[in-house]
Amino acid sequence: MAGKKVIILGGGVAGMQTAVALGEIGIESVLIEKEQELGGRVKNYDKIFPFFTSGKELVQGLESHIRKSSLIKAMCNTTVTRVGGQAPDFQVSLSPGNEMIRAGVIVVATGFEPFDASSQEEYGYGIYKNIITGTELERLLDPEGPTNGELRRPSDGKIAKKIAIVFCVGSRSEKVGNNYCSRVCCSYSTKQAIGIKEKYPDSIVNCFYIDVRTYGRGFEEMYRRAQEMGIIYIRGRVAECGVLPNGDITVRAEDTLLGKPVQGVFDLVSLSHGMAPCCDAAEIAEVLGIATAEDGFFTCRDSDLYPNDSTREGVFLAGAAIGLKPIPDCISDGSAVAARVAAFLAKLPGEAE
Amino acid sequence: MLDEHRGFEANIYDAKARENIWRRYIKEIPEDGYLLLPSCILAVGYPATEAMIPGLFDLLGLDWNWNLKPESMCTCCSGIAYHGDVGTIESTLVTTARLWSLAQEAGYDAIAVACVTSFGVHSECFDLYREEPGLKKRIDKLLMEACGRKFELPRHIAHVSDVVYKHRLRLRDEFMPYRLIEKETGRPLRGVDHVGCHYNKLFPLERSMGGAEYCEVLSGLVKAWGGVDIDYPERRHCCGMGFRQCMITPNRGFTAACVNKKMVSMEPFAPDFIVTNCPGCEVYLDKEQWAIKELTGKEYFIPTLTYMELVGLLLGWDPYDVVGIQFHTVPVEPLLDKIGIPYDESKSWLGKNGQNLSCRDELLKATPAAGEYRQGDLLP
Repeated sequence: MAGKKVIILGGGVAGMQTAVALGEIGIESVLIEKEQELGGRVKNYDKIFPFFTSGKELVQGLESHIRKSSLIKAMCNTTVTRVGGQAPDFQVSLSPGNEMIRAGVIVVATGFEPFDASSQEEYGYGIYKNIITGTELERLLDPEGPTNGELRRPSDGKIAKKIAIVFCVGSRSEKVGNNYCSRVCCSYSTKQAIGIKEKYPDSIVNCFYIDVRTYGRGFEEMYRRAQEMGIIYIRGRVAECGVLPNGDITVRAEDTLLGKPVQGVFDLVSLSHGMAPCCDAAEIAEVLGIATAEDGFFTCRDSDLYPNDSTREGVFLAGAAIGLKPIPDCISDGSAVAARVAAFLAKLPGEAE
Repeated sequence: MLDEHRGFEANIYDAKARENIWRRYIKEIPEDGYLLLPSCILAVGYPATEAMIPGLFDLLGLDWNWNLKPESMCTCCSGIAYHGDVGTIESTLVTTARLWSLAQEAGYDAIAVACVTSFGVHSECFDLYREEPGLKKRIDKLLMEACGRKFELPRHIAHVSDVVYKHRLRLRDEFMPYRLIEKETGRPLRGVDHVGCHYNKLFPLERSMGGAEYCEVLSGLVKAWGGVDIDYPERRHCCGMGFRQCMITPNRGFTAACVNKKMVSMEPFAPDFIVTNCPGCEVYLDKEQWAIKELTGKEYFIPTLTYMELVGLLLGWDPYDVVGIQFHTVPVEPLLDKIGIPYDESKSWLGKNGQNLSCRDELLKATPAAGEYRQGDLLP
């Protein structure tokens, strides 16, 4: 019956964990994913911070739970087109197929979109071939990636040995309209820097940062390890990048600790781009009748007491859809929202068993 | 096509992405109908540049309203006083308001400014009215008291290089006998653009054709006329002019250092010429190449032209009599040889009556090399 079924929008790790946790409580759910497979962005990560475990294996584990559970139905290549009714009797129309599902609760776990680094034009991303994003660096470092884990630069296939990693691209920037900190870039960049240094001990890796925000358990230790490995951290936002005839990239920045401009030439530059709300957040908000905040992420009913409740009764929020967070926090969010959903369903009149 | 001629650059750029990025910033340039506002300093350094503008506008059949007589009533925009911090902002606002009122009196809702500093001053004044409610009323009163005029904000503020950009394809197809192509080999010439900072860096969203980072106003001309535009790391670096450096002699080394930085950076890309749209940039990128040679012994000597000089040369106008390349420090003749434009160097300094006005030899004889100045000498 409608009152007991939960629809989860978004098949990334937060949505998957929500489904798994609900299943463990005994609540039926339908997991809606617009892409062709579950796992969101984490399915492409070879290593995740801070303990260098495998993102792919994490997704495989969650997926295995989902496949085994009779209470979870996963629907890929599917989007929500319309939501009628109200809690605890939502009528959710899906595309393709125009199928309609009745549900008591909806959970939004639609994740994030990487910031479009070409918007910060001074860095030349998309134009200069040897300037890549953190997401692309992740793929290059993946043994199953396009270069089998070799750090080959796009222009000529040469192994990059002098690398600059630019933090806070698209984050903490009034210029691009994102005042927030993306919270994970310092850590994933540090993880990537360690990955490079482990594979190529003679490489030079320079990290340009505003502040290093490695705040979670094990994060600071990872940052310390990076420094002990000889990874250089330079405090200062990069002003611009240019290209030399051989494809090398020039980087100009200010070292704010020295109070001096600095300049360097690198084989490869990686832009640690931040995150933005998922591209269809505004559309989802309209379909569901929930609010988004100034930063574009969904608004919580009460950010202190009920961070997983949306502004509409019966609609809950999980993962990076309500602000950026590292993978372990997204998983916790999945469990937390499952508890909120269970509490909501338990209070429904006539539904108690 | 572009990739084919870029050679080594094809591997380091994504030409298609580069073409797309500047299209985020399309500026509306009026086809016609603007008051032309001349520059104070352009005519001093490279007089033909400004003198050619009326000829070009007439060639294109544009509706503009300027005569070279004092009755044109055009004045300085007060930019030098403004940037030199010796005048009040109200003086500048009243001065630009008066110039706008001249345009409106002539029936135009647009101005075309010959100077990039002026362009910046007009744009800043326009922006101040937008940002400060009540300012317009105050300046209305001051303008009326000063000269009995009324004004409205102009609909368009264009730089003359905007106008040339707007008509670049028509110029090429209808009027230009020459292209930016090496005559002997068919190789597209490699042009470095240097856009004045006050054109594209003050209000990149609304005032610059192509924005700040990949400004198109000059590189678009180079590409349209057969050349290849070059990107290099210090492309966006200021030429180092700045009124502070111009006015305070001990600071002039800063300008030379800035130009040197640009030259070092662009040299590996083997440019055939530099094109500018700012009077100050033109002066310094041209003249400082000599200073750099004197100071370091390194001779770059990359011909540096204003966009109007480039237009004049490709239109086939006389290189000396009309385009005035003899005013350049870095010789332009090697570029003419590449394109195949004929010239007669013996006529480079002929006056109207055929008299040779050149004092070059005497100057060269009288001017000591940079290291030969003695204490007490009046430095230039």
